[in-house]
Amino acid sequence: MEHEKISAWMDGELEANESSDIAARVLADPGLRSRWHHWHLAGDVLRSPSLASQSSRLASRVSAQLANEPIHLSSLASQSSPKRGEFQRSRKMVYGVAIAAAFAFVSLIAIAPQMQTNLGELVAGAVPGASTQAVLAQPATPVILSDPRLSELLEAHGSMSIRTVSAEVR
Amino acid sequence: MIGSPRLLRSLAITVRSPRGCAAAVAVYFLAAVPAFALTPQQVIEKAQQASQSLSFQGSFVHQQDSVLHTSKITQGRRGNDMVTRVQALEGFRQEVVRDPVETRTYWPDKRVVKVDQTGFKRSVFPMLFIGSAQQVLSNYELKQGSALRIANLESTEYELIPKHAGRWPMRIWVDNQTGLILKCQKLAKDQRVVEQAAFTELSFSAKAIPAAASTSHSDIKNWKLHDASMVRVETGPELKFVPDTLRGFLQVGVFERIAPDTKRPYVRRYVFSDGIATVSVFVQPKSVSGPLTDKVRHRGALSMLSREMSESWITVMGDIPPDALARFAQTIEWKN
Repeated sequence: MEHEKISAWMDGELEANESSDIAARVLADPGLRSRWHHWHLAGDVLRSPSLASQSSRLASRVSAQLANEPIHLSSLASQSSPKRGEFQRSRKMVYGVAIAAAFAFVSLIAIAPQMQTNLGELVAGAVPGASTQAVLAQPATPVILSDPRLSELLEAHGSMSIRTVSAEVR
Repeated sequence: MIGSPRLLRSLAITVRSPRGCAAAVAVYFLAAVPAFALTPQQVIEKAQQASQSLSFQGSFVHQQDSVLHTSKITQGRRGNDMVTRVQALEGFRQEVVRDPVETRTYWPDKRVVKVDQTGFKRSVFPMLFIGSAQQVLSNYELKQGSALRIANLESTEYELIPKHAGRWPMRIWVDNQTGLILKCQKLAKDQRVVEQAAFTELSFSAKAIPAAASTSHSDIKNWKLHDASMVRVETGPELKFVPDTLRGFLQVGVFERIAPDTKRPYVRRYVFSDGIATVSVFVQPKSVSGPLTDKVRHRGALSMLSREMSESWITVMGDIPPDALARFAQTIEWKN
């Protein structure tokens, strides 16, 4: 029921006071917030197939999460005849199944090696004048950090700097 | 005099929950104590609370060796969470948005967004202390210095003198009213500054900062999404090393990243912290990667080294001097 409300909120179908209430609940609950985030991401993927995750782990996680959503019959259908209830589906759950199908499809697409781009390469290319050749140098001479594998680990380690892919390394 | 009007305004907009209220009360009453009368533990706790619970906006510079970056920072409350947004002010455009769930990095020039839901807390200016005050004080002595005005705010200097070898001595300047760290330096043995960060302007806004709750890049259709999350793992091979080479550091977690094609972990990260500095040991199978540096390298206060270990390559990165990192790295082995 909460998930249907969140879905309705995302579609702008709630009254103002209901919107405020559900917004506060989403912000306060990490589980609800995670779901909200995934649904937004799923929506973006549906609207734009080029927004495909470099790691299928994220896609698979979302896909599995959405695929496990129970298909709820609407409360109205549960009170109706079995025949009517059998064919009535929550519009939001159909949306959810469609998203799951889209993600499953995206996850199954074999990403050709030439299409796989390392984040470090993606971002390093944005740095004006970044060298594409790692230059071995004497300790006193700065080395331009261009190895995307090293960039990836630097990003994971983190540091006081918000910039880890364009800095010089001695 | 209890607190100040400026502090009251900033705290008022942060109180949304019992936890926020408790933090706000702690900051407010600590602010009543003159800076010179605070114990070392109070100084650290006040700085931690300030960086986690205050709303503010400003600009800061960050210097690593000869490289200087300037950024704009905005921190504000969104529901029960604090959200911090840091935007690069020169060079290629970059924006980092941090909340308790994830860190997102946007590179609009390349239309790339990186999402990291690992959830590991890092030492990032002005949140310098990531461990408890007790842990920090077991590894550093805090010594009060003189007063200095920074970003037009009155502050007090403190030295953080390492109790063990192989760490950078530090100097911090703390806002007398709020306890927020305004400037931080890491020093070499000859007192040369290897890395520093400092606010150039800072304000504690009287009204809510909606910008903190959102990014400037809400429309990310057609952007490439990069999932940089690592998964915390509780089992698996353990490392051992000579304890004296990393005294005072505790292992705080082990994380893995899974390769999308093979579904197997291709990098494992062992994380150690002394409450301020972090040391990461990345282990990668030789089939995946080769050595990433041929000698000890450093950038500002960050050092790194790769070496072979059995059938793996390890890359050690740490916020410690390069000679200390090399000594530690050479002793790392598998436990079994």
